[in-house]
Amino acid sequence: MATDAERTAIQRAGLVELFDKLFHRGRLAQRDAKFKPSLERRRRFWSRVAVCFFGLVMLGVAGGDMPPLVFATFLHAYTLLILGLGAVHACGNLLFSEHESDILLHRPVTSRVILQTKVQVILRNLYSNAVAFNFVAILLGVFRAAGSWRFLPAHLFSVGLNVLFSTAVVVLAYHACLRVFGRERVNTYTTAMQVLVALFLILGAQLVPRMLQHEGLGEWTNHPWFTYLPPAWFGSLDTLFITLQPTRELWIGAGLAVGATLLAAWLAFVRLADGYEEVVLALGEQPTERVKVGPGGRRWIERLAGSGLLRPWLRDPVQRVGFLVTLAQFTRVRGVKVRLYPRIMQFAVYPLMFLITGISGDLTPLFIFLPGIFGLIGYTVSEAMLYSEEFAGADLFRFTPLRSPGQLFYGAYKAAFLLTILPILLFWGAAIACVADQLAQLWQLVPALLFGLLCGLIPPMTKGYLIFSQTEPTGAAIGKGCLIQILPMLAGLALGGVSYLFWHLGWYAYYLPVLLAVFVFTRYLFRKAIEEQELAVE
Amino acid sequence: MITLRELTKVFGQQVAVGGLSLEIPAGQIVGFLGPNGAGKSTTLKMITGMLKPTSGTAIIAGHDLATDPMAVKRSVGFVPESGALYESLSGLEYLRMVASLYGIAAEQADARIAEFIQFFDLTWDLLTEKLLAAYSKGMRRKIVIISALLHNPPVLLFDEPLDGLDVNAAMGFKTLIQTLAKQGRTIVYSSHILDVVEKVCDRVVIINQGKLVLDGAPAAVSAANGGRSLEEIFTTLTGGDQLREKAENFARTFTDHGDRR
Repeated sequence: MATDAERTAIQRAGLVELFDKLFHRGRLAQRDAKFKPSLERRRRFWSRVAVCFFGLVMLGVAGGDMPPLVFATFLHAYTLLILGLGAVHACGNLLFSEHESDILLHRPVTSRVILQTKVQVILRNLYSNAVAFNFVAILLGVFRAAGSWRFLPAHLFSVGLNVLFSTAVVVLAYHACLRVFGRERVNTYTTAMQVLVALFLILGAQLVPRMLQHEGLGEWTNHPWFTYLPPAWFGSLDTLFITLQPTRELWIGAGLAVGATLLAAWLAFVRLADGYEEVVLALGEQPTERVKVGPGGRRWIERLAGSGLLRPWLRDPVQRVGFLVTLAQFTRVRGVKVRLYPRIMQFAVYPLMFLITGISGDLTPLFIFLPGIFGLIGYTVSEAMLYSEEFAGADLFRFTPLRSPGQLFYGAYKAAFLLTILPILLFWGAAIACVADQLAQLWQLVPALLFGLLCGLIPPMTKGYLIFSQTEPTGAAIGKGCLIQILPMLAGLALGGVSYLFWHLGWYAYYLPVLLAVFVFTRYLFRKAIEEQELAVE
Repeated sequence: MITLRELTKVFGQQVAVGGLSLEIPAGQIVGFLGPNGAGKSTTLKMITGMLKPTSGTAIIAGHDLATDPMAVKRSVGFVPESGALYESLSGLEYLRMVASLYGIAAEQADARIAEFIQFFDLTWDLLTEKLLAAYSKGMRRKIVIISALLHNPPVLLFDEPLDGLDVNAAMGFKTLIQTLAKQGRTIVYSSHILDVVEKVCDRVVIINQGKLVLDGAPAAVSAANGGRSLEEIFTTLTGGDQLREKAENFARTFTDHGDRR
């Protein structure tokens, strides 16, 4: 018979092993038919190598020599973003799991032990990832940027604090969401948070290196507000260790790094630990509150589809179904939102750098680039409409008398157009209108829009396409998708080049009707191919 | 073995369970019935220590839930209706994890798991090489049942345990729990399938809107209600006595609307 101490030790070891596996496998493993637990060690190794490579790429795009404070702050800014993303992911999968109450809370283990072991696993894994991400940077820091061996212990320590800080802040944000919005809406807000962190990471990856290379950036470190940015706290800590030349700003930054981390960790892991069981239980319960409905008991999605503006556009009842299902999936289903929005926003913000150079007058590269970007957005949106965690619901379309998935797709694509392509088009229209010499230049957006709409028709031409009918894409499917995406990009660049040539020659008024005719004809061919597809029966 | 006294759970303004009192001795299988939202799952969750009662007491296997919840949890095996498990673990990883939570060392756990595998017609290869996400519904249910029995608890609580099991597995399971009851274990069996409850249980308890409305042996209950079946008694007690007429009237609307093919 095991003693209490032995039993507790077995319990803790079991929980640590459990949460470690859940952390690494996540949701993707559940959908991957080829996943074998015995191959896991190799997977973990290659995932660390990938993180290390990502760190190398990040250093590559940053380029140039930087003073120690800028260098350390730059590293911590990226590490914070990577960690923030990892922490949000870990919180959703591990710390605040919806199904856990039915699995663990009736076992003889306290919620405090569950929380402690989870935090231990999250911190250990995020720290390993952060060190892998900073591996090349540490070598560079020791031998070049900082030029001191002290950078090694200093950075390892400050990365540890950074891990603790970012995890604690995300946990606090989850608690705040639960308390402020209640369990009914917590998933909506935490998903929004996950999407926002991913967007922030992508925007940061695009803009920060360019800002760093911008002349006069070194001046930034002299601004009083610089010290109060979280990456600068940890950067100050590194610099204090490396230079051994304390200044008032460095002391304040380093003090904030230690103080804010300890405070956040105490609040998240000690102060709120007692309420953890309550939170996990609440997450496992079904919402009981009524949802808000408008006149006639209809929710906003139905009201939108039935509005005078859209009713003629959605006359076909099957298209209307596709439209409603897509609106619901794009606005309510966590996995769909997390997969879709960061990916398309990545493309949508990419031309920003061309716009920044265009401020000085020349928008040529932007107009050449935009059709390719819109092509990628159209393609990505349609491809994303294939996957959902609620994939079993698509069986409805298989046993109802539908001949082809085409009409469903058209309705779905209309919803996708309203929610994604149209807002991005309006954003770019407004941005160009602010920068361009004359508003007539907005006509140059037309090829981008037409090409984007056509590219969205490519995925449903493939056999077996049925909206929201498949689980998450596997690694192989993602790789294949990335390769196929090169084609719209290249074709879009060619179209952008040709369109710009006609604009430059002053023949755009003749070119546009021809382009429109080509679009109508190609669209007819594409739609014919889509409508010839038969509903996939598994 | 299970003593509930005035057990109450209130969520906001809603009384989910209102003053439920029950005494279930060792060796008895009790069918715990009620319509949807009657408070069955809430009661089971309180008995397992997953929910804190608003008031009242629960003594499980001699342990007071309020003062010694860990001892109660060690004495109880629970199969929740949701059948939730960690889908990114293999079957063996999941069962080993559950064993560790009860302080069972890995070697002991493996030996016991092997016995369960044999009984439930599972294979060691399946348990080691496939994640639970890839299991059929029936196989997943078997894993959840094994995880409730692995630590050999004196009290077993089942919420729709046969959901997903095939006829043979269900038959084996029913025989197993009847034998376990004869060995002195207390079993609470919550289900909507009244035929099974009638055959398996020594006693039937029906609750409606959080209150006890019937308690007795199936045969005695039937005799006291003019020889009516448990299903008929259930519908009368839970406000469903007009169901047959309602269904017949509604069926007529299909003819009224004609053939829409």
